[in-house]
Amino acid sequence: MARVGVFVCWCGSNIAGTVDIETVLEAARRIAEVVHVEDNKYTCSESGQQSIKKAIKEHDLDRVVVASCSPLMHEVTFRRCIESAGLNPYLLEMANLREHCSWVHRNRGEATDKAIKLIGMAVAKVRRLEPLIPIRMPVEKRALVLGGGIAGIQAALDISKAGYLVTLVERLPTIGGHMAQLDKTFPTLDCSACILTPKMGEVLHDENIELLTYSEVEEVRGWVGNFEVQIRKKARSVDMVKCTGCGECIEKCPLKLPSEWDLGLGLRKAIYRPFPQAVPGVPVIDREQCFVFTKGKEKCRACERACPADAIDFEQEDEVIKRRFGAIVVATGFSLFDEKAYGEYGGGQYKDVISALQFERMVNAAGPTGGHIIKPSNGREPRNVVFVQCVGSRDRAKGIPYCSKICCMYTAKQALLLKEHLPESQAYIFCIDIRAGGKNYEEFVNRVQSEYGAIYIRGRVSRIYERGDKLIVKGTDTLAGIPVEVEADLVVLATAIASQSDSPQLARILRIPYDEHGFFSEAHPKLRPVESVTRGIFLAGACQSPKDIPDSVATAGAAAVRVCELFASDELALEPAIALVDAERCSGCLNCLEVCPFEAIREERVDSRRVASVSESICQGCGTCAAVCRSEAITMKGFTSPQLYSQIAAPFEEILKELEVEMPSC
Amino acid sequence: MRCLLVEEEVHQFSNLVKALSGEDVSKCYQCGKCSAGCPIASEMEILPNRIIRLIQINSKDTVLSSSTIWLCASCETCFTRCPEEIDLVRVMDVLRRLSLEEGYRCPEEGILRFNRFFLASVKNYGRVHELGLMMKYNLASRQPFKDLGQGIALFRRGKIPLRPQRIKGMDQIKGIFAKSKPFLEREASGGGGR
Amino acid sequence: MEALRAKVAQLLKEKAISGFLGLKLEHGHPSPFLFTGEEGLDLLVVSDTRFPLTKLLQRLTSKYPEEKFGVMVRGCDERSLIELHKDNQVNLEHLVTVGVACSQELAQRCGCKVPYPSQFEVGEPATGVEGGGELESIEGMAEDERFNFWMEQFGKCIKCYGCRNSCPLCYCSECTLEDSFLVPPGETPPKAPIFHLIRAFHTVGRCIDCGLCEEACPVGIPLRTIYKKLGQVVSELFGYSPGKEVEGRSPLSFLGEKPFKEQG
Repeated sequence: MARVGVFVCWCGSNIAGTVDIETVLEAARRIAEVVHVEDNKYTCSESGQQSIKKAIKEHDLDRVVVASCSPLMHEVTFRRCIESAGLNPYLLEMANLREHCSWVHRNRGEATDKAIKLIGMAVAKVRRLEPLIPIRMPVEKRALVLGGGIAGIQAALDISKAGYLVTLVERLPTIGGHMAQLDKTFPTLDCSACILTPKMGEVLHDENIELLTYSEVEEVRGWVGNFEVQIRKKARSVDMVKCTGCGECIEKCPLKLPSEWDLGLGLRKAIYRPFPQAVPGVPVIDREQCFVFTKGKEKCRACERACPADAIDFEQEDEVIKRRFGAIVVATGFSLFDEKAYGEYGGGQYKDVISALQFERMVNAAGPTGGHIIKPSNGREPRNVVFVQCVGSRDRAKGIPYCSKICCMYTAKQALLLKEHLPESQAYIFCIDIRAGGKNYEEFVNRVQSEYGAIYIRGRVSRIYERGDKLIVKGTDTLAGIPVEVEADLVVLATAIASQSDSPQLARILRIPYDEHGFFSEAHPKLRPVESVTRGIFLAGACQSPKDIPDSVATAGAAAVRVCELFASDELALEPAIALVDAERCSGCLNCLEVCPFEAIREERVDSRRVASVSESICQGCGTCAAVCRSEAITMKGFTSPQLYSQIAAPFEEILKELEVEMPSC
Repeated sequence: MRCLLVEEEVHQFSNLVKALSGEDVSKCYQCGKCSAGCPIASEMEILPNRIIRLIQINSKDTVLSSSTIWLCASCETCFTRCPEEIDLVRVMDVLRRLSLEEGYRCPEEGILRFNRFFLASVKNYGRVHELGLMMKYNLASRQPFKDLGQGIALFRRGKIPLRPQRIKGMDQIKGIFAKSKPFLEREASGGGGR
Repeated sequence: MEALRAKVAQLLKEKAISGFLGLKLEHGHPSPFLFTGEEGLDLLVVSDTRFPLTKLLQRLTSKYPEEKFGVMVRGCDERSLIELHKDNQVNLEHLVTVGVACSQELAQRCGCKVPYPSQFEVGEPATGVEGGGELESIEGMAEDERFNFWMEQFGKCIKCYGCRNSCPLCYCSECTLEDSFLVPPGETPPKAPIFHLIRAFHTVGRCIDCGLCEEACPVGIPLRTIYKKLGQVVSELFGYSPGKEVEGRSPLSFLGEKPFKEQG
């Protein structure tokens, strides 16, 4: 006989407002093997927990049911509570009277009835629970940071400063990310490069940080504390050790190609550095363009002849690196919505309609125009410049219903920079709403209007077309209620923040969830904002949602703390509620192996029989394997068939009796 | 102009429009792209985005007595541009119908007259007899020679026949008109203004 | 028949197979037999009596995974082999099948749509028969009536396990139907409807509609009708017909696309 204690929570008026607690208590007392019942206004509070501990001792309870909220909310709280009173923490069952009952019902009588049934089910299950012991695993104290933008850089530096080893992997030949493309940053107008490049250098010289640029993660196996990661270091064709970064090779290369870094506004060579302050400063050869690779081994080789350090290596091959990591920070950033989707804005055919990032490159002193704002069509200075906000953002028809968050601010900043660079110019900004929530943000936008004379027009642009060498921007001023037209020399489109196009592939490699827009999902939007649901994998920066620089840095720091928290202990306690295969019963069909989303199941031989086996450190306890196992050879610890069947049968006992249908004896 | 939130339920008018047109105007967040693209916006006293706004705030009288709903040429630019994919053309159609049904005075009498002559021509012949339509309309609007020059030019090139031509399936045309009779009758008797 | 015997004799002689699982005529009755040499081959027969030969084969190969066997297959046997292969229970590459086309009479009796395997050495292909009339009449019943009908049918069960024992796709080493928690021992009829529902859930998506279960049932429960219905549902929902093709898996044995898409 079990000795079950039932603790019914009011949750203030959340539960007690809809459920009649007194009736519930009465009913709970009548359930078999329940020896103690009590209620509490807030069971999760310190006094509520104390009262559970006291009851366990006084009534010699060996099982506890807490009837309150979702286990997602407080299961951990109450497990700790009963553990401190000497019970195994897994001898707890929660009846969700809030989310499953009081919040979704209005009728007091029916809600009370349901609450009683939910408690009955929880008792039925708790009676059959067995103690579980967490699995302990060693932790590999080295972190992997994916993405070398500001978020990745910050996370790597923070983890390193706490004394742990970090490997920073960046897909491009340099770290820096989008921030390195920017000119000034809002609202303080700090020079982006001035605050970023010192951090880039710090990464390069940090002894705890291994920097792998021009590299990508190919495979991730394992689990928290012990990820096995395969990284492909793409052939740079330049020896990283020998190269002094003098740049002679770049000088001599005869090929001129549009620069991706400058979004086509400038040119680069086939051997190049994306920008002069690139880290590392070692150039890379674009094998798709270089004559040696496109026309033949004997062709050109000008860079090789020019190199004083003999660092050019056309024969270099991709290198595959395998490392073990205890934790992973994903900081892969964002991409920009392609404005070509808007035919009414020219669909990319007008040279003088540019994206905001192109404007950013143009206004940057280290950019392709040396910091001069010009009309790309003829190189002249523009007078009227129209900024169009929400290009892609807030446009359900284009697949992006969300607000990109940063465009209002960078557009205001660009209008300000325009006026500073070209005092004769005039900025017109078409916006829908100005979203300037943030420290000194609203003030900044006000200043752009009052001091820099930017004209804000509330309304979306409907069409842009050429008339002579001007662009006609057709919109409406919804505040004045009249249609407006602006004759512009240059139009800047504030394109939406989108996820990286290959984020679903990366999500599959990492086994983390992502949302319908390709942004990685956090474990809890409020309380676990930088964790993915997969333990040991954390999120930083704009790969999770559109973020500005302060937010990216803040989330990177938060993710770093989470990593350090893991590394602070030598062993990890892993959830024991996982799958277990009964080799005797297993018929070896291996359907479980197919369905396991965590690749936790492998084939094993027992007396020459083929059977499935679960790696307990990888298993996350999702239960998919148990669902497909027709031989019922897989047991979910804490969710065994007898436990679940009793729970299911509990509320139907009377009905089943009436129908003379019998459920398994529980 | 009457200001919002009358004693009635505030969603009454938008619900009515939704029931009749299938379009949910509450999705509109007033970006104004419909008005920005509208080729007739410059002629409109109330821009299309404001019509939607007025529906949202239950301002039925203002909407149903506006000229905007009659000036709309149903070109669908607004619908094409709308980020929320609200079909303003259907909404406008419903508004015109409601305006007539509920006896609002049409501020664009010429347009209403033209529509009626147009329908009468379709009812009689199964298609429009351009010459007859224009003559009737111009006479009624007391400018009988308005389109004379263009009319002659078109006539010379054989673009507009002198006599009306009936189509074959007149039975079906009759059927269509019979089905819409209740509405047309109400419309005919519903004049009077408000 | 002679052609069959000659072929088996040759396979055994060449050591292409270690044994041939077929039917042996003993005391006038055909019954399953593993022929391992030339002696006795004159008693190898083809008959209209059906046995779950592939089920026996599964037991055999799991015990001797390295050996190659030959087996006589009808249309239904071949379909069951394909499903067993997909569930890793037999290895088609380690098998030599000798096909037999069923007689028209047998096809009629079984209500078999495809009464012949993809290749056959014996017999002439009979015309397929469209079965399933019982299903229509049961589905035509009102819900109450249907419920009572089935409860009555299940009430007849004497728990002989004939349905399971004859099923070519039942291969678990420990059967859930003998789980004392779900099916308490010593009770007949077994608690309805749990016994038959377990079987239904365990065979859905792989039942090849051979009808051996219904043939074996001594009390005449229309078992095949249940599995036919499940087969119909699987076919409609997933477009999968068990046993039809070697490629593709039963839709209930793998996850669909995007297993990591965010829930809710």
